Amino acid sequence: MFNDASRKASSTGIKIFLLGLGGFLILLVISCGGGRKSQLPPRLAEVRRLSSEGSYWFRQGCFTKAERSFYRALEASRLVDNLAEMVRAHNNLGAVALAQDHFVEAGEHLQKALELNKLLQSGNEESVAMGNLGVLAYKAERYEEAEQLWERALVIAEENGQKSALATNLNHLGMLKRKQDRLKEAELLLQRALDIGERTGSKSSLANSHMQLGVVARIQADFTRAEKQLTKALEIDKGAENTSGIAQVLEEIGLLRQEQQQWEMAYLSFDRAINLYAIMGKTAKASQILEHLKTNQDKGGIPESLKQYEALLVSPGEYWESPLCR
Amino acid sequence: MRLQYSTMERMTGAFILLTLLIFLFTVAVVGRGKNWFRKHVVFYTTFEEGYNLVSGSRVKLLGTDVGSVVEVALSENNQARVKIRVLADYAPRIRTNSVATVESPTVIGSEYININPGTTIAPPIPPEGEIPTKEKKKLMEYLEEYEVGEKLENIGKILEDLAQITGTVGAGEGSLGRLVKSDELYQQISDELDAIGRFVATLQETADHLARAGAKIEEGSIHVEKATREAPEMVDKVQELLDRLLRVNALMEKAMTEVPEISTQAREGMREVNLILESVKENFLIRPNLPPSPESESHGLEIRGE
Repeated sequence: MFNDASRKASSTGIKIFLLGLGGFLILLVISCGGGRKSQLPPRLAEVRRLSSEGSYWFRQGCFTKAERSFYRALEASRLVDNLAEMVRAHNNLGAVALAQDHFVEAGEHLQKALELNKLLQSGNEESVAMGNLGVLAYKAERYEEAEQLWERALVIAEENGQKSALATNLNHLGMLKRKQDRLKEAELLLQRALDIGERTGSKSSLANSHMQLGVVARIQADFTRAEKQLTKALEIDKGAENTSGIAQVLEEIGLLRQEQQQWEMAYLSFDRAINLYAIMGKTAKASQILEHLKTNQDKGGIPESLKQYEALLVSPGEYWESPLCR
Repeated sequence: MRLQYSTMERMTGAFILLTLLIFLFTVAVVGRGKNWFRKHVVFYTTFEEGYNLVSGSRVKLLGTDVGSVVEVALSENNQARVKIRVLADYAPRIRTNSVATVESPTVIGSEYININPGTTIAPPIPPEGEIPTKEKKKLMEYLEEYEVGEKLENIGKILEDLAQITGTVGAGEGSLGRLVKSDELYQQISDELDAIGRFVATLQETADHLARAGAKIEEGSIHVEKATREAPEMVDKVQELLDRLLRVNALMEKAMTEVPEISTQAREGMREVNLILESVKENFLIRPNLPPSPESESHGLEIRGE
C-alpha cells in the first residue's frame, strides 16, 4: 500500500517535472525563437529595394519608371562596389533600353554587364546579357548574329540550369526560325520551350510559346490548331494581365480571322489590339494594325471608316506616360 | 547518517531548482535590457513645476536615453525637485554649465528630461549634485515670444483706421466724402458750369448775372481751396496706413522664418515614429512574420516578333 502511494507520488512528480520542463522549453523558444534576422547592410538593402522596385515597373511595362529605379540601384551598388548588383543593374538597364528601342544605350549597358561579369563569373548574368544582345541584334535585323547569341545564351542557361532563361531563348530561336520559314525546326524549339514553360509556370514564356506555335500553325494553314494555340495564349496573357502580350495575340488572332475570311471577327480583334497599342503609346505597332484594318476594309468592307483609328496614331510626346504607369 | 530522499522529494527539489533557474534567467534577460546591472549616478534637478514627470520618465543626453527619473517631490519652496539616475558612463559629461529641460514628444510618448551636456571647460557635476535647469515654455510664453498679441493689435488698429476712413467717406464728411456724397456740391458745380457756359455764350448778360456768377465761382473756389487744404492730411493718413502695412509685412516675414523650425520638429516626430516602428519590428513575436526583404533579379527581354 505504501509502495502504491509512493509510486503514485513519484508519477505525479514526474508529471510536474515534465510540465515544468515544457514551460521552460516554451520560454526558451519564445525568447530565442524569433532569432535575430540576418539584416542586410543598409546600402545593400537599399540597392535590393530599388532593384525590386524597378522589376515591378518593368513587369508592368512602365519602362521609364523601371529605368529610373534601375539607375538608382546601379548608383547605390557602385557606392558599395557590389559587383553582382552592378552587373544585374546593367543587364536590367540594357533590357529597359531595348524595350524602348534605345539600341545604342542598350548595347552599352549589356556590354558593360558582360565586361563586369568577367570578374563575377556568373553564368546566370552572362546568359541574360547574351539573350538581350540577341534581341538587340534581332531588332537591328542582324538575324544571323541574333541566332548565334541566342544559341550561346541557350547553352549557358542549360549549363546553369536556368529553366526560365532556357524557355525564353528557345522561344526566341523558334520565332527566328519561323521568320526564316524553317517551320519544322521552329515547331520543335517552341514545343520544347512550351514543355519547360509548363514546368516552371512562367506565364509570359508559356503564352509566347503558345502564340508562336499558333502563328506557325496559321502559316501551315492549320487554322483549328492555330485558333487553339492563340486562344490559349490570350487566356494566359489575360490571366497574367500582360497588356503587351494581349495586344500581340489579338493581332495574330485578327490575322488568322482574315485568312479565314471572317472579316468582322478580324475587325473586332484588330480594334481591340489597336486601342491597346495606343494606350501603351506604341504608335509603330498601332500603324501596323491600321494597315491590317485597311486590308480588312478593302476585302471585307469592315470597318466603314478608319478615321477614329488614324487619330490614335499621334506620336506621344517626350514626357508622355502610359495610363498604366500613372 | 546519510539522508535518504524519495523520488517524489527529488522531483520536487528538481522542479523548485528549475523554477528558480527560470526566474534567474528571466531576471537576467529583462535586467540586461533595462540596464539594471549597470552602474548609475544620482543627480538632482529643480523645476518650477513637475511637467507630468513621473518616476520612470526617460532622461536623455542630446536626445539619447541615458537614465530615468527616480523620484519627483515638491520642495519646501513649492518647486518640483526631481531625482534622476544617469548611467555612470555618461555622468562625467554632465557639467556645471549643462542645462536640463523638460521636453514633450512631438507625436506620442510622455515628457522626458533632456540634458544639454555643456562645454568641456566647465567641471563635471559630482554625484548627487544639482543640474541647472531651464523651464519649459508655456503656450502663453510662446505667444508672447512670437508677439502674437501685438500683431493682432496692429491688425486691429489698421482695420479700425480703415473703418474710420470709410465711415468718414460714407458720412459725406471731408473733401472726399463731400465729393462722393454731396448732391448739393454736385449741383453747385453743375450750376457753375451752366453759368460759365452762359457767360461764355452770352457776353451780353447783365451785370447782375455777372455778379451772381462771380459769387458762385467764388463759392466754388472756396470748396476747391478747402479740398486742397485737406489733401496733405489725406496723403499723411495713406502714408501712415502704408507704414503699418509694411510693419505687418515685416512681422509676417519674421513668422515665416519660424516655419522651418516647425518643419524640423515635424521631421523629428516622424523620425521618432520610425524608431518606434523599428523597435516594433525587433519584437520577437513580430519579427518572424515580417515579409522577406526584396531580392534583385536580372530581366531578359522576351520578344514575340515585330
